[in-house]
Amino acid sequence: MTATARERILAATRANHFEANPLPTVPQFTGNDSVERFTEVLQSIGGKLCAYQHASHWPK
Amino acid sequence: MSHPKRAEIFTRDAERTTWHDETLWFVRQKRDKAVYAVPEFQELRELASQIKTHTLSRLADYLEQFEAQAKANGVHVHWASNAEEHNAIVLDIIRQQNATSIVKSKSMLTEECHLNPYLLRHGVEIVDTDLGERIVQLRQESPSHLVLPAIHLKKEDVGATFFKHLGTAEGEVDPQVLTEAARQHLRARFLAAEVAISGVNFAIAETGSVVVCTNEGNADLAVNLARVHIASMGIEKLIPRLSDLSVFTRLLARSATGQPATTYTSHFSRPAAGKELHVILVDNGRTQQLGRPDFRASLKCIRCGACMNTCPVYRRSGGHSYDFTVPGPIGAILSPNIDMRQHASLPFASTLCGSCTDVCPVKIDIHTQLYKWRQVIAAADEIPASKKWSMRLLSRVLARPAMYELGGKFARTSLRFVPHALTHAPGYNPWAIARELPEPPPQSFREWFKQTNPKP
Repeated sequence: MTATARERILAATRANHFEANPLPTVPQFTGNDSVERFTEVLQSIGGKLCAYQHASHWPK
Repeated sequence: MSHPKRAEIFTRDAERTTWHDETLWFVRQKRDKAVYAVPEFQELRELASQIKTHTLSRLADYLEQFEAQAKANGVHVHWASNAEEHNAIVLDIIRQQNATSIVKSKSMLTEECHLNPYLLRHGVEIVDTDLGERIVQLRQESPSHLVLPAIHLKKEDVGATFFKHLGTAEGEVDPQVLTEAARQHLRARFLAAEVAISGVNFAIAETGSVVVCTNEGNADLAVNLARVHIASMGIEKLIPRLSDLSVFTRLLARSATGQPATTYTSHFSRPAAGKELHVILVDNGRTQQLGRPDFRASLKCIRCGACMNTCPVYRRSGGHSYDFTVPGPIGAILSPNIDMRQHASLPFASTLCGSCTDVCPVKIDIHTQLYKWRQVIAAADEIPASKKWSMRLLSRVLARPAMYELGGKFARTSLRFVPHALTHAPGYNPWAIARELPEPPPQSFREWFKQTNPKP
């Protein structure tokens, strides 16, 4: 009986499995100041940051 | 036709060559600026490389996990060993739907499978909806870059194309007017589409989802309007977990265009009510590449195009000179796996400077693989006879100091008398087409050293 594409691909892939590193853990990367980063990126694309302590301080 | 011959066609227009070079270098600089703003960028590269290597090391397991999850989500999963099988599956789905209006967002895999001409031969017209892809489709060309498919064209070229096909005013070159014309033209296609085909940037084994990253939103518009979505993906697009995606999305856009993120990063996990989602898993030579330990790392590629933007050869020879779906340095290591004889010249289209390796977000050792492919190609006797014999002669001369010294003396003397037309004859010495030979020195370094440092 002819093998299906699924069987062929899985067999060929499994035949070429190799020893490798385990799957690494993805860290949180929390060391950056996100406000500072946001400001940098915003300004790099021509934006301007207007920061207010409270919504009531926003200009009318 | 070999890469040097195709590159020669591109470089005939010196102004365009310089413009192409500078434009892509500008993108490379944007990439650098974005990368330097992320302190953990090198850590992300290492993580991405490890995740991809791990996934490839047990790809069959992850493929099965992906399939099971996708099916549980109500997705139709298909498998295609090669381009013919992929194209037949797409056509079959279209015919089952009795669909006549088909749109496609950017997918290098469907380019690789030559899906558009296949469907045309079977009476099905397909409209590319990515702006750059639509431009090259109207011109009956192939994309010249992974991310910027029409980067070889100037606005005047686009204006002439739209005048011919979309009815814009003759001589119109205003990018805003041209883009609006394309927008109106494509909007009608989006609304009429019955089947939408997309590529896949990442597929997540854990969730059975596919992720599509675009800047124009064309994929989202198309697949949400059409009743059937076909997502075509190479089997190497898999990543194990949803959390892994965060690593790749931070790398992809920064490496590609210098953006912090692609404008749209869309997850497709299950079909909407009353609609269908098909995912086609395509091999087309990938398992063969997986079986080559020296070259399997090329399957880690996330198709960002950074290696192209930085490559001095690509920037000055244009994407079409590679005559392969994926041009540039990464294409030069993928293409010999598909057809070594046809693409034998591509691994030689590099200075081996290593810049491609330096910018690769998944740390593929591209220039090392280019060097290794050269050895494989030479061992298979697939290099031009002139190069083969000249290299053999040179290796003999370099292995014999006396012969090298004699050859040097002969060259220094004869070059003073041989006519310029002969030393620079294009058929005889392609190296000298755009270069001048240096003035032959009166003596070799060794002779000069002996003369200036006589033994006491």
